Amino acid sequence: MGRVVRFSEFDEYLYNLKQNGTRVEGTILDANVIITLSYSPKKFHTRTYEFIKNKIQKNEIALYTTVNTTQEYLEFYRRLLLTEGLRTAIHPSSELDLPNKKKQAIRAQSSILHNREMHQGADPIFNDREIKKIRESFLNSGNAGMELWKALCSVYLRKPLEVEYKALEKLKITYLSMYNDDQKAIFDKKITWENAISICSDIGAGFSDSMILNALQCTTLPFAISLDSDLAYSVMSNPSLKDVLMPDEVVENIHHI
Amino acid sequence: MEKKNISDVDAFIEEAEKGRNMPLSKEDIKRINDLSREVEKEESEIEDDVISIVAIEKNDSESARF
Repeated sequence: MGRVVRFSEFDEYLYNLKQNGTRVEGTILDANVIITLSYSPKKFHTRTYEFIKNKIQKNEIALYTTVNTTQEYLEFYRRLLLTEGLRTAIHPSSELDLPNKKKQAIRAQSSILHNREMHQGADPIFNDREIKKIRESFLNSGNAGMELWKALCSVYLRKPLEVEYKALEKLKITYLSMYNDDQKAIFDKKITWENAISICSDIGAGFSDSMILNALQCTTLPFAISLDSDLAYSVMSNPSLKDVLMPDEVVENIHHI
Repeated sequence: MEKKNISDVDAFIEEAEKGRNMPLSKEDIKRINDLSREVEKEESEIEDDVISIVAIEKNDSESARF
């Protein structure tokens, strides 16, 4: 039966796994772990960093993930880089001199975001709708507006996103694939969509979370690491699932543990 | 079993920070400012056109009254 394990319980947890003869070759990381590691303003950044460095890296536990993770990571950076770039572009100290109407459009969305940061503790990152609204204001100016928007995307996204993507290599993450001969030894079941649907249907967990738990079930890897309560509730609701490790504060906020 | 890949968390964080701190080049700044001026110019031309159309329409309707 799967458990939700606190980071602080890891030493004892690992010891027990080894005592029971479980091989701890690797673990599966949720995208939110990778994003939180990479972006220091994120809540739980320090705890996640210390845990991955001092417990996972130190114990030479390899990191695995699903292909969705890169998409989620790059999507996070698309919005972060555009937010930081556009907010810097309209700052009084900026060397850029954008058209006044475009500055107003960025400022309007930025103040909505600022409000969300102040009152909801949200990350300083535009959501997709806000980015679309800003883009629309540029595209309203015809071809010249489109060229200007493209130039901004080029400087704020093209190279920076490549750098963010390359940075992932340092984590030496292996993407789980049943079709990779090198990974045959860690797969003991076939990954199917039907099983992911079944896991999702337990508590209505998101599909990227269901995919992680599904992939975990199909491998010999004993646990996944996440910051998302969906994984915890899934594990708690279905005794056939494996373990998930989380920061203590996340576990403490989960009901009925 | 494939060879174990052990991560380097510090190197990952350091590299990820670099993506967020890439300065704009002089050429990028010039290009964006040139394009911005072009947008301003087009917008003011459209505004001028709108003003003249409104003025013509106003004149037309005033002439029609006499």
